[in-house]
Amino acid sequence: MKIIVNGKETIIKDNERNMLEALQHIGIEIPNLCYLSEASTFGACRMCLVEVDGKDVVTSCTLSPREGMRIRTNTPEIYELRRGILELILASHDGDCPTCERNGSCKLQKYAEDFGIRKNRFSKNKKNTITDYSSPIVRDNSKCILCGDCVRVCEEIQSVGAIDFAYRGFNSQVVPAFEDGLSLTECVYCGQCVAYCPTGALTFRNDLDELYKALKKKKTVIGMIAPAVRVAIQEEFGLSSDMVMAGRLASFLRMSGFSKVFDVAFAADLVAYEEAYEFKDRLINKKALPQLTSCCPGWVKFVEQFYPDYLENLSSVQSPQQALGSVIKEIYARENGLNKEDIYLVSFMPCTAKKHEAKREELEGLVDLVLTTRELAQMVKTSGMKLKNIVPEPFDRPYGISSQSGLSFGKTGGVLMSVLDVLKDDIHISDVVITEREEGIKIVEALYGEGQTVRGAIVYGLGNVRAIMKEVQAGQLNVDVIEVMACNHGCIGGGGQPYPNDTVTRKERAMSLRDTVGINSINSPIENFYMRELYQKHFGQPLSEKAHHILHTTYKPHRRIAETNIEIMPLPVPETEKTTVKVCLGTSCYAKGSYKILADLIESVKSEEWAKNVEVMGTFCTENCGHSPNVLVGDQLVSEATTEKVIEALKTQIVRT
Amino acid sequence: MINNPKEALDLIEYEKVRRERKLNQKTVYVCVGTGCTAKGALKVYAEFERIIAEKNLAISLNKENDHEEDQDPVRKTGCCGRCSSGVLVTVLPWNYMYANVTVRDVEEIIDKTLLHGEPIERLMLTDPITGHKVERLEDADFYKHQNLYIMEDIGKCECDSIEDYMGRGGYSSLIKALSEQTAEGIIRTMKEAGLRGRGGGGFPTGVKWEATRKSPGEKKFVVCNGDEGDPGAFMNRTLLERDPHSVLEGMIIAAYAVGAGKGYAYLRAEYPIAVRMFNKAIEDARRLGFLGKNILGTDFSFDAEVKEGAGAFVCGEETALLASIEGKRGVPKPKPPFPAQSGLWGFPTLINNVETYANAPKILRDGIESYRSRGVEKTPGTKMFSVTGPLKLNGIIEVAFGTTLRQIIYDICGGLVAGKELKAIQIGGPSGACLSEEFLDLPLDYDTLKSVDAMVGSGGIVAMTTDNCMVEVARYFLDFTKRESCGKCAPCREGTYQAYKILEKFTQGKATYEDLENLEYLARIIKTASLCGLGKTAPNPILSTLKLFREEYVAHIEGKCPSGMCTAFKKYRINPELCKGCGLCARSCPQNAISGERGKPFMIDEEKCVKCGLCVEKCKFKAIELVH
Repeated sequence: MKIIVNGKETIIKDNERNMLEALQHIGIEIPNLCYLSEASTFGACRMCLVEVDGKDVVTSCTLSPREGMRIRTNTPEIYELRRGILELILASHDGDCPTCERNGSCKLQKYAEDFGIRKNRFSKNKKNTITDYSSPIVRDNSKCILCGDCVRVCEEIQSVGAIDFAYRGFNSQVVPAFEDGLSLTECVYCGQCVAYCPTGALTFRNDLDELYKALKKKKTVIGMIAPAVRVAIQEEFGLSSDMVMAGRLASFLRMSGFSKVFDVAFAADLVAYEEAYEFKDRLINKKALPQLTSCCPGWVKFVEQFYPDYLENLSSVQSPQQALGSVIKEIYARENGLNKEDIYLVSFMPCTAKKHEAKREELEGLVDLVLTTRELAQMVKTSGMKLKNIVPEPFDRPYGISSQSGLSFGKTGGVLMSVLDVLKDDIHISDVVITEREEGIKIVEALYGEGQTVRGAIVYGLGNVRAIMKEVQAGQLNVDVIEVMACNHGCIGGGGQPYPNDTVTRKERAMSLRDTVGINSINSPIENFYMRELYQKHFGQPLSEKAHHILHTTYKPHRRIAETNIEIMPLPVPETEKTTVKVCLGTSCYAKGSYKILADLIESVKSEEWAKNVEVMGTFCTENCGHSPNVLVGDQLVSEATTEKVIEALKTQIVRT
Repeated sequence: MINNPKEALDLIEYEKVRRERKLNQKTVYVCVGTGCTAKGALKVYAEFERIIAEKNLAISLNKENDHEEDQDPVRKTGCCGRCSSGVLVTVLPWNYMYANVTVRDVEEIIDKTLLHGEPIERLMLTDPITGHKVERLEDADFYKHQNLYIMEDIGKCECDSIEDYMGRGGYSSLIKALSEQTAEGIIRTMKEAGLRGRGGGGFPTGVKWEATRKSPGEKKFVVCNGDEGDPGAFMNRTLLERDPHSVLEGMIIAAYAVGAGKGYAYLRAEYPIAVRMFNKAIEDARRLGFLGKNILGTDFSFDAEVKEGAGAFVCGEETALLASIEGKRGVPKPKPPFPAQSGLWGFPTLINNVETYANAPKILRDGIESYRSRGVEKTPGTKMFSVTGPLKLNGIIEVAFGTTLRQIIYDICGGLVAGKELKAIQIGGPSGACLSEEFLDLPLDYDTLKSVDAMVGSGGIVAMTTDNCMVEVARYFLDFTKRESCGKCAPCREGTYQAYKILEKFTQGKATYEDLENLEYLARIIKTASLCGLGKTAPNPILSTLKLFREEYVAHIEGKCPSGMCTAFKKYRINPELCKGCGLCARSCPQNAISGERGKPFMIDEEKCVKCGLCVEKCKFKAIELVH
């Protein structure tokens, strides 16, 4: 299609999504603060204005290109408007750039510089905003420009919807439900909001100080580096991809006081090996299928919250980070005469959810500190050492070598293909065919045994997973294993990676990782002899009792909203003598008449003899909104409740006690 | 439940005869519009009932009517428009209209007028210009200069009765549409009539209907926008309260024309009477078979329900309104896609204003000619306006497009109350403009107003006098839009806030010429760059006052508020010549700003004074004066 841009005839593709992208593709970067090619068009920042056909000034993100359209991108009027909008946003922005996590990578800061704004003609106004340090994702709304990128990423790409707009006008803010801290919400800490936030409103918790404290205490500090870190960190230094980056990082950490530096990709081999046999067992015995991979902590929390019925489908093998932590603390320490309390284990991850994973109840104490790629880059910057001049050194033994499969864990497909790789000879896998069903969803089909078919799905993006899970639940998709990585394109797109962290950059990282994998001479986890040695010396067989003890974990259902009971009619009798009934007062239950049930129950307790030891309470969300109203009688859930049903359940419980 | 068009038409004929008989018998109609209700209409109504029961007139008065429930001589009617003269009472069959009726007048009305047909001069409408008493509604200038089309039958329509609506020919358009007309035919009629959307923009209704009809979609919806939020506008409220069936019938016809199966009337929750009326209208229409499955035995099915808005001004913007119906946060979306392509839950959706729907059945019933005979070539028909301000009469009026502001202000509303001088007319609410006196002869229609950077908006007209400070008016409206901005787009969210802050500096006497420049710049940004219509029009009160009353802004910078409205510029001074030193002012000052020694002149501490003016009222010697 031919359009006229700034007076020059220009050919653009016919199927461009909008004028903003069309112009981008011909080399004109229209300033914008709320456009994400990955999500729906929001049209709120109004920065991307262009002039159409010499009269209208419209946002290019919402403009469909038309043959012969005359576009001007840089008139004095447009300059004036864009500058004015910037000044308006800056007038109510925190503006404390030097202490901001995004200093140097902030889009707003960049535009302020590009437009040369030195004096703001509008008066500075402080907004009444909240900050939230309750989870690995840090939110500081005084830096928020309300572009809604985080809201759309969380809702549209990840289908989590942990945050949304609240309040109106000048007082608008992005907050979780009830303005709770993120730790009390359904947030899975994938950090995609952090990845896409144009300013410093959403960042991850910077834990670098913890590392320096540990180093100061002269603990035995051991480091481990994930595959996705080594293909992204160079972006922070304006370097191009570097095949020996892992070696430089290992060397750097040793120079910084680490006693050992291991490779998380080693643990990936270990996990692939263990998980492969777990899969084989399930496949042969047809139980708990499809097996769901469990390397991704964001995905694990997602299952715990939204698919509690599928917890047994999750592979019980720990993630590589935790598995290596476990091996180091339980085996390495003993073998090397170290007290495991004296080891301070630090993992370098592309991921914000890993910070949460290390603190999970079942896993706590294995990995002491999780730092992201960006935090590692900050360490390098503080040291003054030039990354490029650091002579690479290999990882320490024994957890320092890895196979191509293990390294591939850093991107989508890595886990599932490794599992198949491990089982290749064992169950005679052949004729592997991978088809891309749509962006983010691949289907793998292979033959195994005597002509049987094994099917798997490789999915990234939690929104895609939700669609796949819906098909699995409905019996429309028949697969034996599903690999899930919460972030688009896998761990290389994690929330702790350098900026920009968009699709373009992620694809470049994927290429870089592909090359890094390619030059590795070990093919399959089976060839990783240090890993095999671990089995020979300690675990014996995969899925052995010892392997279970050290490498596996457990899961439990997760409520999306923290438990809050509301006392309505407190009963002054000992706990053992009373029967409690909790009526859900959440939105859905309320709408379906839970208040009437509550009123009826109060009436019964007041007037009827049998109910004298019944304590009536209110509660919020029993996670069963589809069958509202819900009432908990003791610990029995009465769904689609009526007063009669609840009273009947109550009477049965009272008889039992 | 009526199962075929024939039966329905018969029922209408029957109701017409029934209504005719009712109008020819002795009946009192009490206006229960919001204005009259506020002035005690329900008490007046109860008093009529009480006395009639006491005197046992209920049966005796109209006993020749064999329809027992029609014998009742007291009835409620919807808003008569002349709200400042409430409580209004019409007495039939003589068509006498009484104004300012109180409970104390009821017995006299029954004894003299209802029983003996004798008019009570004291209660008659007063012509505000001549001061003459007017016996009948139709003789009052207030009504004579109006063009009553969708508001006809003032003073004698029963707002909550579907039978009364049918007696006025109601639902005959729907019956005709379903039995004789095609969807295309109806759309053609709307186009030929030249009906334009009454929500403010004046978009051709027929074109909108056609676009929705042609839009492919498995389901379609019609939505009635009743989220009237402009300060000083209450046309939609009045219409919904006085004639809900006209709006509902319009919605059903529109649904038939565009092929929709479900409709939502989005009404403000702050309009409880309108909500109740409309819900009753839906119930009654369903009972008779005008709503529901297979309406009148045809294969057209349609049902409607009320969705109550939670009070956000921005939900009057159509995409925000649709989001709100879907249960989402009410924020606008960029257009395209327009609701006609992708509206409620992504399905093609027709969304029109309350008044637009009310016009549709009327056009089908009375014909294109009758519609086009009103108004101007490009904008035929009539428009309801709510007129407020210090005018002799104010309330709701309906005039033909093309009527001038002068006719409205002077001929209909009788001009300003004594002692007030007209300075400006605010039209179109927070999105509208302030027009100066020189625009009084401007014909009111969409295109003419647009040409002077004003807009019809929803139809609120506020008269402003020399007592009004135009800067303060702009500040007032920006205070409104800043609070009502949804917060989505940066220019409106941040811009209206900043504009308000600057205007506040003006009214507080702290503004500079740089502020004036910044204000103009800001207004341009908000107007051009905002996402939705509300943002784009939010600076209109600034732009129009800057254009026509710029000298007032300059005066504020120079330390003077010409109207004397802005308290920051006021200064109270005690004239030592006149002050007797009694100390009454000091004792009554809420700020303890006045001090002095008994017997000697007192002084006002300017730092403490909040300029409430209480001291002026208290002083018996007129010693305290206002200095501008």
